[in-house]
Amino acid sequence: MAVAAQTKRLLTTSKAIAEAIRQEMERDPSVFVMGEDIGTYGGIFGSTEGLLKKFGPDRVMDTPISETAFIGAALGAAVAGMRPIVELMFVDFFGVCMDQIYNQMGKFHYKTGGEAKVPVVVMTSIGGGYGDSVAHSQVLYATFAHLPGLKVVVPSSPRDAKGLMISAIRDDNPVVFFFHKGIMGLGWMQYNPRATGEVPEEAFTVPIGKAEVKREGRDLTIVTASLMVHRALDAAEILAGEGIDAEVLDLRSLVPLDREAICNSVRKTRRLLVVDEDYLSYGMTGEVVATVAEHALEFLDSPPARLAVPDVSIPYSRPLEEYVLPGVEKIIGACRTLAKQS
Amino acid sequence: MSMEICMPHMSDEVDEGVLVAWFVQPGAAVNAGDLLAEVQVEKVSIEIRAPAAGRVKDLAVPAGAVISQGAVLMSLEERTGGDIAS
Repeated sequence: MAVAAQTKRLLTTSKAIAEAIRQEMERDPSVFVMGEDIGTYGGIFGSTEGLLKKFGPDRVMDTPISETAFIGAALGAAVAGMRPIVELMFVDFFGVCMDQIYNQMGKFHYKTGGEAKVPVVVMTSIGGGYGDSVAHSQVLYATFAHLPGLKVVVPSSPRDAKGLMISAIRDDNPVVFFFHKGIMGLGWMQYNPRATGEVPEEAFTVPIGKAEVKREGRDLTIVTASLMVHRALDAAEILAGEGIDAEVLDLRSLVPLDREAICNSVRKTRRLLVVDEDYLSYGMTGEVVATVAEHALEFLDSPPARLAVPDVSIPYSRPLEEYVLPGVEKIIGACRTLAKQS
Repeated sequence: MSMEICMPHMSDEVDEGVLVAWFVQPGAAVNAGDLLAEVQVEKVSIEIRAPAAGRVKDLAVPAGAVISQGAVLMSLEERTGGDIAS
């Protein structure tokens, strides 16, 4: 009997991240992980699943609930020659440890005159859509992208999550790695078919700072990141049925920002919508629009449009939360308006 | 020989769980111990692994579906003669 056809190797995003960390820990003994519930539990979003059993408690350390202490410890270990990965369980908690991140990690290389390297990865969960209210649903990556000295990585797929995590671990700079809970493939989140995808088994890298066209189109460009890439792709499929051909550009990194890819897409489609689950003002949407205004303004056929969380706290009420989060229907509406303008 | 792989019993309190993700498609050749699926009851998730080498015949439930403990998840055409070369 013939051997059955090989089918694709599928992983959820959470397993892809755990696999990336495992492979780097096997390759490099200076890589280790610490954070709240990352050991026995395997990370509350599964991003460190199986690591404690494989590597033991010296390299996979559960920490007390004291973010400023263990994120500071990761910084110290990085400066001393280790390559720590440290999990901040929800990005919303950054308030209690931000000094270690932006004044210490982000600036240590500069203030030592380039003597010290800080090869640390801070990984953290972002995003709402599941009724977790004001302090467990935010995105906040633009707050980190605003500050010098930090690379900011925002994958949207299992494959990119693995490749970007390996790049982040091998990078000599501090990298903040933001994963959206809605792309991890968790049973208690709304089912998302794009949270499971093909992932190569061998270790590979996705370069930090390179956006990717996830869907080609001619009529307008949707620039976005993370879970909103999935929403934009769903919207683009529906818009295609109405004769609107949308290009979807996944930024993948906010720092460095792939300004060339943004401008190249807008030069082709001549219309721009930026979609973001972060707050609207002083954020990613404004940065992308400013980039196009500076470098490709003459190519625009209509004013650029932005869709993001209006500047309000994320409501606990499900109908209100749905009202403030960008979603497929809102993206479709914004694209229809944009396509009509001249 | 074909064998059915079922949702394990994970809770005495709650009957239903979720098929979180499939990691194989119909037709896939698997070795014993390969990852097939992840299932979850309340907030506890576990991996379902192949009990024997074989070929995935049929997936009985889609990813994202709510399933009772004990329900059939998939069938596996068992292969005699052990693992395939990887």
